[in-house]
Amino acid sequence: MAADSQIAIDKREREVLVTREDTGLSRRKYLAAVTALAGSPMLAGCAGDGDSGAQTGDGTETGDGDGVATDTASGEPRPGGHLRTSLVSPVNHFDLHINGLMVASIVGYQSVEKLFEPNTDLELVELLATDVSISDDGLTWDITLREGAMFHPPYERELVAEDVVANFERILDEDVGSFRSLVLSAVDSMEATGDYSLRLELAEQQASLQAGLGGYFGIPIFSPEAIEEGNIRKQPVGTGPFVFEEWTPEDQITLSAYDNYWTEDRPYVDQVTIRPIAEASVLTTELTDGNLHMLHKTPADFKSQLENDDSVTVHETDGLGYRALHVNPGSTPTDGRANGLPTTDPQVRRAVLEAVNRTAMVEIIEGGLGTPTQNYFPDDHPWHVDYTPYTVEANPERARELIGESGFSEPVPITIISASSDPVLQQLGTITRDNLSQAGFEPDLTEYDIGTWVTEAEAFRYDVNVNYFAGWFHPDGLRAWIDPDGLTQMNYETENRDRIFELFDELNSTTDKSEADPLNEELQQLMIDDAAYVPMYHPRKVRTTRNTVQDFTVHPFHLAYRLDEVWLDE
Amino acid sequence: MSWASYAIKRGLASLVMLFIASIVVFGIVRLIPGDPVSIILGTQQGTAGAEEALRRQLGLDKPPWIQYIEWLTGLLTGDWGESIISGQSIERLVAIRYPRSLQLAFLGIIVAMVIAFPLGIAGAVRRNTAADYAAIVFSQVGVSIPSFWLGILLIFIFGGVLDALPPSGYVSFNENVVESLRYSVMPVAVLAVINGAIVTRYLRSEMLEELNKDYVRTARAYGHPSERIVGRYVLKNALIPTVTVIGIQVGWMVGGIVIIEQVFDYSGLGQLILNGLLSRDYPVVQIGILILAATFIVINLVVDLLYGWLDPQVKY
Repeated sequence: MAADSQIAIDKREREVLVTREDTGLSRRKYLAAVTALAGSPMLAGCAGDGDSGAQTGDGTETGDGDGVATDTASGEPRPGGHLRTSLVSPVNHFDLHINGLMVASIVGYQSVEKLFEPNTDLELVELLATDVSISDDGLTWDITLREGAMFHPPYERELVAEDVVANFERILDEDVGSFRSLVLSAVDSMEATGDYSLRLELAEQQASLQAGLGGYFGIPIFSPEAIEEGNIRKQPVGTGPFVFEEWTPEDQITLSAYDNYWTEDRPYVDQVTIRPIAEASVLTTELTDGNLHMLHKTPADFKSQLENDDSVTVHETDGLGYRALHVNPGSTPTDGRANGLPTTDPQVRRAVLEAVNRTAMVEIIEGGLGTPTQNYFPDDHPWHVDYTPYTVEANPERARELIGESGFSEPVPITIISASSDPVLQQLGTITRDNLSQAGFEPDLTEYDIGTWVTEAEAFRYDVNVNYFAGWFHPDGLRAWIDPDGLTQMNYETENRDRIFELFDELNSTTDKSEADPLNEELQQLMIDDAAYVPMYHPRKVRTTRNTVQDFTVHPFHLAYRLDEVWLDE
Repeated sequence: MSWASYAIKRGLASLVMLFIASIVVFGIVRLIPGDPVSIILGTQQGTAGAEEALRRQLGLDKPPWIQYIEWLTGLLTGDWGESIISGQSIERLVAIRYPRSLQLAFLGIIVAMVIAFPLGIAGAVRRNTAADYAAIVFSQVGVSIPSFWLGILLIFIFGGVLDALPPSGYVSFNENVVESLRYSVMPVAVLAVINGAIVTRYLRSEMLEELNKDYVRTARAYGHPSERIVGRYVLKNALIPTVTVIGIQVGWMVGGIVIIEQVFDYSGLGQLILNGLLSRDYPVVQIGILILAATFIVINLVVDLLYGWLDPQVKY
């Protein structure tokens, strides 16, 4: 209290006369004290940054909650409070260098940061990096790092370029086996050229490097000491806005605001609790009762109920991610496949894509909250290609024609795999089976538990597999999905394969968008024609917050859940 | 043999059973298709060497019998190891989950008995009356109703509409007794309805059987009051099979109520084992199932000892 009283505010001038440095208080305590001393009359007079209706990007807000938050909110972010939010499934571990599970990244990125990240317009912007300079030949990348980014306790030291190099080296260590190594696959050597600068020398041009570093495969920078001590699987330590405090698996995760976070004033809330709650009705009740402030994912069946609730606001925007079908074009293995390997025939694969009803998928799985597609990038994305050769809704007649052209006779046997423990994958599998059974196929669906499904998918023991992905920031990302040296999601033996990989290389050799556009267009058209890996729809991103949650922005990228931006008007 | 000697003998036999159970569990979890290494690396796994390295790091490259001996040695020396998925200490995970499951199971069975005993007894003693019909309806409805549906209904009414109880979550008994009980009310109510229905049905039917026996007729002929006949003889005899059922129900509630735990976000031992199975977290599953087995053994022992009290003719 004695320290707090050192802060004096001239309420007439509305200026803080004593700075934080003068008081010796931590930034958070200082802000809390300033807010308390200033009082609500001052804050009420401020214009509304906290306007809940001021959704950025393509985001929209619905519900009776609109405007309520604006009326009560002061507009000026207030520090403090305990934010309680939820995820629909639990996290398994936090070593994000090897864990691709989305919920792990959503939580982990509150504590650990990448060099770049996407903004709501899906442009890559600087996070731990502040500048990138690329040599004329595209082979030397000089990256300047942010000064003043501090690792969390117990290490509490400034991030320097050596730390980034150490993280990159771990990613490239074959014994670690990070899927993120693909981002650095063209890197020939790297070195810290100063405390805040590093240089990457590439063996070949990689125009997608920045997109890679900021997207799904972006490399989170952990404290090298925490890596060394082997703790990051259960306690990620980075430079992010929140310190990872405690984790009880499948129960709850506790984060606390990091006082020395490099973005002044952020995060606003003192503490965050994240609980995995799978049951939709419980999620909704917890939110409307006020036990949760935010839902990371809004159950589609409850959206209209929430929109009619005065105490909450539903935020939504088009999503970058997609649900997709893998139609196995590979001739090996034969285990788990239908006799005669029908999906090795491109006409059969196209018949599969003609048979499925994308609109029904959106309606049944997402409650209508999504956009049927055949494209890897949503309509407003800079890399979107408007190419839709297949019928959006099921066209069984066309599917039968294609089967006839293939030489196979009806009904064509076909195996489908999905995961019973994941509702989206399970429903994708069921709808696909039902659609195929009405279009000249004899589908055999096997629903595995998630562990077995992963094993079967990796071994390509299927004719059709279902999957989803968070989305790309550069078409080169698609290479990872089909490259046998990449993530090896499928055995991509198709007639267009060689040309597709040539196009990936050509795309990577230019940063000139106008030069890249025709290459991108040809690439995506060939992949869609190959009918081996084609998106079904882009689900909309729907988040719900209580009206006391201010400045929340729904992000089209699934992994971006910026809790440091929000504050509580309570 | 005294009950104490019997308990010691049963305890030693239980250790042998646990040892056998440990071998069975260890073997079975490894027979399930799927690989923890694949799950840790996810579908985005990178180099082929990564799998080998991780397998080596987790000790999964060793022959199964060496893995078993190492695991058993750790178990006996108090080092239960870590979850191979989350890296968390298994002692910690169990210390958090097991008390929750025990709390839910014991509260559930106590409330179930509070409902079932009056209903079951009244239903048998006053056949074809309102009390009997209430017992029949309750036991039929309780057995038929899906637990998840009842749970969601309670959440909707008491958590949502009335806003009287927390819809999900858990507060430790040590932290706050009142809050702990508030969080337990709805899951306990679901368990009490389901288990109460089963116990009501058993008790009513056992009571009816006893009431038709000769000794009851004789006792009545001697002019013993009905309350005394029912309370002292009939109920005690009817309790022997009922106690067995109650014992099985308690054991089931400690580890088998995953759906209820899921609905109320009340993470107990059952959910720990299930998620361990789904992610092929071998050490967690092994310890979890062994604890469940030990719980069943202890409950069965208690039930066996109760037989002697209920029926002095039972010899140990």
